[in-house]
Amino acid sequence: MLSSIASKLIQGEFICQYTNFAMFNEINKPDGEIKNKLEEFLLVVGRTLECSQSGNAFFAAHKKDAPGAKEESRRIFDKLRSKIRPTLSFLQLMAEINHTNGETGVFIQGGEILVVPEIIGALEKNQAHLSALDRLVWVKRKDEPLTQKVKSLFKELEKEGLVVIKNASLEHYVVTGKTDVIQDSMAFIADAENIYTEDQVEAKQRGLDL
Amino acid sequence: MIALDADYNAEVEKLLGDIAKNKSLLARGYSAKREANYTESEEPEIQALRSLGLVRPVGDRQFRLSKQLRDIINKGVNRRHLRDINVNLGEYTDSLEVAVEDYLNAKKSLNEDDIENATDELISAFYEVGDFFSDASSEIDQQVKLAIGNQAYGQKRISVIKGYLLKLDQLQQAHETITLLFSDEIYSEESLLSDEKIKFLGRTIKYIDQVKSTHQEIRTVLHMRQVREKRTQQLRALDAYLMDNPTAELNKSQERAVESPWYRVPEPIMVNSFVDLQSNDDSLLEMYEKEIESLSKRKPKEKDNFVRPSSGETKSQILAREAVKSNSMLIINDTIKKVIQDKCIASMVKEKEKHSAGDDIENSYWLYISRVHPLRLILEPRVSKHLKVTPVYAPYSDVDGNRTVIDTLISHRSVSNSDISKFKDAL
Repeated sequence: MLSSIASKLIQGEFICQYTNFAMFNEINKPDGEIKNKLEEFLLVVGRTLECSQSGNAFFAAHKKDAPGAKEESRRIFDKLRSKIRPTLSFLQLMAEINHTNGETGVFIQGGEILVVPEIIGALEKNQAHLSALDRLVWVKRKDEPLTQKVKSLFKELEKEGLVVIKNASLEHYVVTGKTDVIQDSMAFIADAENIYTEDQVEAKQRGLDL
Repeated sequence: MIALDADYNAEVEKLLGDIAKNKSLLARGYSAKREANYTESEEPEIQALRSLGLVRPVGDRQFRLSKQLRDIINKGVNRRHLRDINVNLGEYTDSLEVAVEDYLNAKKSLNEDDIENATDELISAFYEVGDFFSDASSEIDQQVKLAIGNQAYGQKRISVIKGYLLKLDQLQQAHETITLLFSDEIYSEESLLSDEKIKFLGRTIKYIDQVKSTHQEIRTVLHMRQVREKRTQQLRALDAYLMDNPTAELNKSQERAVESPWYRVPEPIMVNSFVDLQSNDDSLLEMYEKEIESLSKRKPKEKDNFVRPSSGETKSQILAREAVKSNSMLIINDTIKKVIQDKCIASMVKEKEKHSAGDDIENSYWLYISRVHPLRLILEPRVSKHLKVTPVYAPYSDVDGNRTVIDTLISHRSVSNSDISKFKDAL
């Protein structure tokens, strides 16, 4: 098991609670034995084991203090910069669909099940959602029928590692822990750039702690 | 006493039989959200059920199920509403206090029958209070587990969850009230009351623990939701900012990118494993099994259409088969022979370039085989006493996470390390 986990981590895969429960549990064991061995292994190649803020996904990253890590992370940031808006647009669209289905529009998170037929149903009823769907970068052929478009979207999201098929016949996808890690990184940008929500601005004006 | 029980049995069976006879009518009444309709011919059944207190006629040819019957069905089909969960201890404490009073009076009267009846009533009353806690706590716990899932909660569901929280608070208060009631000295002085009190507290403690754990579960969910709401607001603010400033350079984030693990995720290193047949490490067995299983599923890229050449007449023209050595093996063997003969050092990349058969070999394959094959050969002591294999790496930094082999040097054992280093530098 250890060698399989190590090999997945080194190949840039995320070990997520919802998509790879056995391996996730192995790393998460209270005795920390596997975790320590993985750390030792990753250290040899200047990497370390990281976890999402919600604690549902493990992945390998450069050590913060490794020589050249700062420059490398700047380069990676630059490379991923163009993916921020598309990812946010997708999260917004899913939140809006949940909202119209009677739930509040909080962003999806790891472990949630997305049901393709339900999403198609919700999109059909709302022109604004349809336009938002067409604006997503993962929807490449805008002239395709809606069903095909949504199916292709989920195939693309699966390639990105944001969702994984859970039940192929019912078209149920589970949101991966990687989605949470990406959201963590975007919240990091908001913090770093001092982008506040209305509530935070209000609290600041009232002299409360942010 | 036995005769009386038999009478009750017959009465209960008749009642249940009447209910069973009218099951479709009652199911219709349960399914209707408000009033259910009935036909003229069903009038006698409705009246019979009404006399049993199971239905109430409302309006013109319409009826509703009584609350008690609806509660029983709700419980049976696991569809209880929040308001159906009773956390009102009042009626139970009242009946317990009456039973205690009756028991104490019966004891004073010294009438054995009265004492026996009052004792039965008292024990029942204690059990009823215990059942009240067990029913309410299990019901709330079950409902909460149904309501809480790993989904986004809407305001409606959140208000239901908050409703359960309120019920749990009331249930905890009810337990405190009854514990306070038991602090009355009569519950310590009178032996039966004291025994029943101890038994009751023993029975209900686990339900109160369950109440506390459900309470904690709800608090966690509400907290997580709050965290998610804040996160969503923050990311929406970021989206709005990027929409207003599409060319924003996000310099501060870029400068601090190393702080976020996502921006430290390195390029993947693709790992190709191969089976080490000489290893006795059992921990690798699982990996080997998987590897072999996956091999059996792989389809060959090209079909090997072997056509057997005609061998002519049997024995008269025997087909001669000759092993053909690959170009790469040819070069490696030639180089090794040369190194052993001249006691020198050779670069495998240079040797391939010089060799007439070298052009046909792909560079990446040559880097692999020119290192791996000599390494296999030197496992033999008669070869290793002559040869040394040294890999040459490309320059690398810690963040690369991998080392790239750019050449392999084959040298005679007599060549010193410093000469190998000099040779390497001169490449």
